[in-house]
Parts: sequence; C-alpha cells; structure tokens
Amino acid sequence: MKGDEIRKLLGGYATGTLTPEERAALFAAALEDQQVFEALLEEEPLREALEDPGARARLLAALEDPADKPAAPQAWYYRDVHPGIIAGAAAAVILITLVVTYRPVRTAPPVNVVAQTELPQPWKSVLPGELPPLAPFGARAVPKLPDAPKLPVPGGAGTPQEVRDTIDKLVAQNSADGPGPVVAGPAGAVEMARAAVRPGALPFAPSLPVSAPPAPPALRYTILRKLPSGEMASVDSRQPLGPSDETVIRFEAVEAGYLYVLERSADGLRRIATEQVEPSVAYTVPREGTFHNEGNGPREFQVMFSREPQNVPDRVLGVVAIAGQPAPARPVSGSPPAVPTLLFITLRYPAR
Amino acid sequence: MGLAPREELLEKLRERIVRFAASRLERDAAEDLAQEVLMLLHEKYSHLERLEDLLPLSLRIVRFKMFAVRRKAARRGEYSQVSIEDIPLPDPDWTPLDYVEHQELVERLARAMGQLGERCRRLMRLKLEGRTFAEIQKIMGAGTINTIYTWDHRCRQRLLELMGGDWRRPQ
Repeated sequence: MKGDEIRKLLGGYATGTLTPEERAALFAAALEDQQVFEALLEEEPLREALEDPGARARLLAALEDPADKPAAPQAWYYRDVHPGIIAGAAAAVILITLVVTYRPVRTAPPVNVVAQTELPQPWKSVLPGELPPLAPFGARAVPKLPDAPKLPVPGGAGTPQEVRDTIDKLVAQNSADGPGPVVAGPAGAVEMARAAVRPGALPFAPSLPVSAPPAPPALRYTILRKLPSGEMASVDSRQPLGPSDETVIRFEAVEAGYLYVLERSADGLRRIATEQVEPSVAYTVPREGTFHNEGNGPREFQVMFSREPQNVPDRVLGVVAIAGQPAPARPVSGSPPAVPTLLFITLRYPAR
Repeated sequence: MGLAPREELLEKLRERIVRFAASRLERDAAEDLAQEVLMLLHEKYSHLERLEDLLPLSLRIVRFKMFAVRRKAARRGEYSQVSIEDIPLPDPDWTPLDYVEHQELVERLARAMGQLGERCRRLMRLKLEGRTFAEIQKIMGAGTINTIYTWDHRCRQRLLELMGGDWRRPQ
C-alpha cells in the first residue's frame, strides 16, 4: 500500500475494523513513517473509548436511523392539529364566554312547591243569593192557647166548654190547611216554618224528644219559579202555579244539620233529596232540573231538618197520610235528642 | 552484527516516541519519556515480540505517560521526570477523573456522530458493529474496498471536525 492508502486505514484502527493484514500494514507504516505513528497516537483516545461495550452501545443508539425504527405511537397531545380546528375551538370558547357573560338574566316563574289541591267547596246555588232577612224566631202569629186546666185528656169528659171550643177551632184550622206546614212569617217569598213533630205523624223514625227537648233547628225555604227569560223568581207558596211552570225549592238553614226531602205520591213517600246542610248556604231541590206539572195536581213534599242524621228510608210504601202512623221512639241515652224541624210544602200545580 | 528483530522494533519505536514527545516536550524530557517506555516494555512485557503487540502497547504507554507528565507539570508548574511507578498502565479500575473524561468523550462522540450524513452514519454503525471493511463494502455495495477506505477517511475527518479537531477535549 502507498502512504495515502495506509492513512485511510487509520479510521479502522480505533474501531477494530481492520483485518490482521490491514493492521500489520498500518503498524509497519507507523513504524517507518512518523506521521502515521503520530496519527495512531492521536487515535488512541478514540480506540480506548470504543473498547468499552457500553460506549459502543451508546454510539450505536446515537447512530440509529429514525427511519429504520418503527414509529412509536405518539400521544394525542403531541399530534399535529389542524390550525382550523384550533381556531374554531378558540372561537367557540370566546363565543360561549360572551354569551354566558352578557346574556340577559331571565327570572324563572315562581314554582309552586306545594301542590294546591282544590278544597271541596259547598255547592252553591245558581239562584239569587240575596235573600230577605229572616223573620225573628217566634215572631209568627201562633195562636196562643189559654192556660188550660189540668186535665187528663183534652176534650174528655169534664172539659170546660171554652177549652173544648179552642181545641175544636185549632183542629178545624189544621184540617182546613191539610197536613201542610206551620207557616211562619208573612205570606211572601220567604217563609219560616217550625213545627214540632207530633207523635206518630211521620212514617219514618225521627229522633223524638222524650223530655225537655231542645228547640228544633230553624230552616227556611223559598219556592222559585222559572221565568220565560230563564231567570228564577220567588213566588208565594200559596200561589197557584201554571201548568207549564217550572219550580225549585231553595232551603237555607241558620245552623248546620241534615235535610231530608220526601215527595208524596199515590203509593207513599219517596225520598228525593238528602243534604248535609251548612249554615247560611242555600241548597236547591232538585239539584239539577226543576219541578214541573205532572198532571196529578199539587205536588206535596215533606221536609225534615235535624241537627243529627236521621234514619230516613228511600221509599215508604203505602203511607199516604202522615196521621195515624206511630213512629217508634229511638232509644235515648244521655241528653235528650234534638227535635227535628218538619215542613210540609205544596207546589200548587193544577190537575188536568 | 545485526540487531534481533525485537530489539530492532524497539529501536524504531524509541525513535518514533522521541520524535513525538520532542514535538510536545523538551528534548531531554522526550528522551527520558522514550527511555521509560522502552524500560517498561523490556521489564514487564518482555514476552511480546510481534509488532502487532508491541506497537499498540507502546502507543498506550506513551499516551498515559504524556498524561502523567502534563498532570504533574500542572500540579508543580514544572516538567519533571516521572518514576516508573507512576506510569499508569491500562487498568480497568479507572480513577474518577478517567471515568469522567471517558464519559465526556463518549457523549461528544454521540453528538458528533448524530450530525453526520446518512452514509457516514451507516458506515460508522457498521464499523461499531464489528464489520470489516470488506464486509462493509459488500453491505454498502461499493465497487472496490478503496472506495470504502475513502468514505471512511472522509467520514473520520468530518467526525474529527465535529469534535473540534481532537478526540480529546479541545483545550
């Protein structure tokens, strides 16, 4: 080898690349040529460093071609993102921030946390609610009986003549009015009636007083007739009705109680209404519709109003007259039961 | 009467060592350094007779001897003779300073090799893998082995440039 070619072997000295022949040629040249010798001396640090296997591995790693290595999956946050996506995301963030910051504040409507259920309301009549004031209780013209002598049986033997006359007069008057109510107050739209139950006068069994019963509850009623205009107007209870008149009966009590309305028919009494009555609330019978002429003449009703519920059957057959029907007395315990109020109402429809 | 082959080799080695050391040290110091190298080869490595064994060993001794001289001169501010006991032979138990210098050299090499061109990188990789030039010629598809020699020479020069002109740390 020539000198220049020998010098090209220097690169293989430090890395141990030379074959034995190449090494021999290089060393022989170094022994004869001072420059080659010094070049070998300059290569000593590199040769010494490359003797270390760790150093060789480190240099091999540095020389590793990135194209030869399979590309490791790159984490998502290191991947390239299109500038348009970045700009869009930034614009969205800015827009949302502006909207949240400057949007008008809306006040939500109040929310009813507690559910409001509709309370049961008393049934209110469609009829005019303004009624004339009640006549003072006891103001009716009830014939006052004279102080009677203590007799075992009225009208019996030994009865004074003046007593007999008074009794006969009352009986005659009562018979002329029929089994109707004892009417209170002046003849007009509103009438107050109050009557004490006579023993055996009703087909059902009201609570009958045994001794010192409290006063019966007050109840007033009004007969209302339907006008051609559709409005309802009160009429006198004694006024005859036309064959085409439609009527209702409105009740109003001063105190709470139970109202039973029965209509008399050919085969007895039939209950047509039962109401639990609140004070100062008008109740109309019938609740829906009206009474009208059925061609059988006057329609008669028996009304009972008591502070306590009564045992009133739906229908009582064969009872035509209230007289002569002894009603069994309800067993009494404690204080005597209240006396119910009885009314007899007649709608004076003409017979065909 | 001619010299024995070993004696002839040592004489030539001495001449090369003196000339090398004289370019860096004083003449007397260079003579002494060469003498110490030969004494060491004579006393401790008398069994080595081949050039392939004696030359690399003498190169290593000269290098360490030069280091020792420079360190001592740096400590004392003067150049003095180094006793034979002070000559550090190749020893796996490096001093911390040797280890640091070695690691530093490796890192500098790694950085420089990373900056080489593709062909040089491939050539260096094959050399570090222990391939011979003949094998590298076949692998890289060079026409002649001289082409590989030329490539390697250029790559070595380029690497040396990237290292600052010296494998050791540039002063």
